[in-house]
Amino acid sequence: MSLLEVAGLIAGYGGATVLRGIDLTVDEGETLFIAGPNGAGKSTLLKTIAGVVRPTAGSIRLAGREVAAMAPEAIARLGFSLVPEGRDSFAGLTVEENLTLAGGLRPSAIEADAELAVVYELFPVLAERRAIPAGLLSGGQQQMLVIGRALMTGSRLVAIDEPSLGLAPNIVDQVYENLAVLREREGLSLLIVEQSTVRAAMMGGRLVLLRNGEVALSGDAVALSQGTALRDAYFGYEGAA
Amino acid sequence: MAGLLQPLFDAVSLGSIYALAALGIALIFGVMRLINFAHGDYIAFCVFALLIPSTEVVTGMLLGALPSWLIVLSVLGVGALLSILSEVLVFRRLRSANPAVMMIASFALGIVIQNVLLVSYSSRPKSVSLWPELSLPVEMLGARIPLLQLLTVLVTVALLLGLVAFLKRTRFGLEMRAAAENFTMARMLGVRANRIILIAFGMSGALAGAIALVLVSQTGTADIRMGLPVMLVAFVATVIGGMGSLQGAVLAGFLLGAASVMLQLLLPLDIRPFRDAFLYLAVIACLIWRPDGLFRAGLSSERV
Repeated sequence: MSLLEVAGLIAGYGGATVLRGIDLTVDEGETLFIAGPNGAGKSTLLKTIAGVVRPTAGSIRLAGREVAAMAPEAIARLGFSLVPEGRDSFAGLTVEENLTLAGGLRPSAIEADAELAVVYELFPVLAERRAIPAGLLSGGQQQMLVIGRALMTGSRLVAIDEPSLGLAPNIVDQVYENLAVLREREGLSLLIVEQSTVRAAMMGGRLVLLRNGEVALSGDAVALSQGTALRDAYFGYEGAA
Repeated sequence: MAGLLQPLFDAVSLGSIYALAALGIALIFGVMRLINFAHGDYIAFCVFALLIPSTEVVTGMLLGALPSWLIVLSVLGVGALLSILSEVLVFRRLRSANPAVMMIASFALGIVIQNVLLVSYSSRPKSVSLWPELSLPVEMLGARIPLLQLLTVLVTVALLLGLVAFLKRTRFGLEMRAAAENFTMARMLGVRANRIILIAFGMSGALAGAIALVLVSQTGTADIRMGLPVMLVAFVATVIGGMGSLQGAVLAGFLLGAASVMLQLLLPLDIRPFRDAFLYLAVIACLIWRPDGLFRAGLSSERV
């Protein structure tokens, strides 16, 4: 059974339909990249799975349970954690408060404390700066914070919307190294929106290309990044793939 | 020294009322982006809950007949309950509506509450003698300060400290601060929206109850519109304090109280009746100078 199964998902804002029937799955321990041009519906897809955008049709099954009509906090409780675009940390809360807030999803405070130690070990700079407001962190540190926060929730499936947005290339390298470590160590399933198919190929996993709210192409990230099918699908040459 | 102590106490005790009211408004604004104009009517409702419903000028005590500690508890409870009811019956249903719609709904709710009071108690102000012994003055450093003023300041300080402890030290406090910054993200981290909003409404309503007790023991009257002027100043305080900032609301509440007492003291006698014009000119100047509020933390933009 897949951890996440999305079938026939249709969603949008007000009258505008953004997702026009999406089907995809993420298996336990798998990494799925979502690529595609601006306006393809990548962020909307993640927000719809998280329960922030209400789907108009289709199903979203998380660990076998239908979550398509649930509130965001209920979906989070079932083990889905979204790191939104632009690293939405709580700027006025301290680094540690950001982390303990997310630890509230753990069944016990002892477990949350243990995970806090794990996050601090993984990102020592967060431990150093634990008492300062998150808004004073650099962009790279904030990215660590929001990934650490996702870990604190204990979710099996972590979705990250454009982890490289607005970060210097060397910081992006670091972010992906961290994500790879998490995948190995914790066996997390990852759902990553990423514009750069090169990054996807470097990290390895499956890749789905969205265009106009539909899945235009899907396959192994490494294989896809070598051929021309991806580029053709990205720019919409019909029949090219 | 003694000459300065009296106006200082006037300023702080007036500021206390504004600060408590501003806090009540800021708590709701923080989690709901709702400016609750019914807040002033919660205050009036709490005052009238002390009295037996009657259209006569003189009426007996209802909650006011209880022992003092029970009066305090029950009035805070009435405020909290009224506020929670308005969330469950009105605001919850409008949560996805545009903020202007919610604001209009809060106006409408306020008028409904006023009219419920009007039907039950008539429009004539009633005299309420609650804790008359509190108006006795106490000697302090050569000045005679009414006991009530002293108590108002102490109660406010205690409430503020309690609230800070709640916000900083408890799980709900943490969740409420997170929700005030970014409600959607907080929910995605498992913060239960309905519960946090209910707690905020309950606390805001209890604060309205506290103001009701202070106002009624200061003025000795119950008037259907007695909450409105407080609400108006408190609303101004939340705006110049920086909408959604709790510390800002409290500080601006005290600032407005102090400014108002200072103007009263310093303006020449013949323009003193126009004190509020000067006060609000200063407010306009503040808003032009710092439209985002005097006490905005400035952490909202990201550093890279």
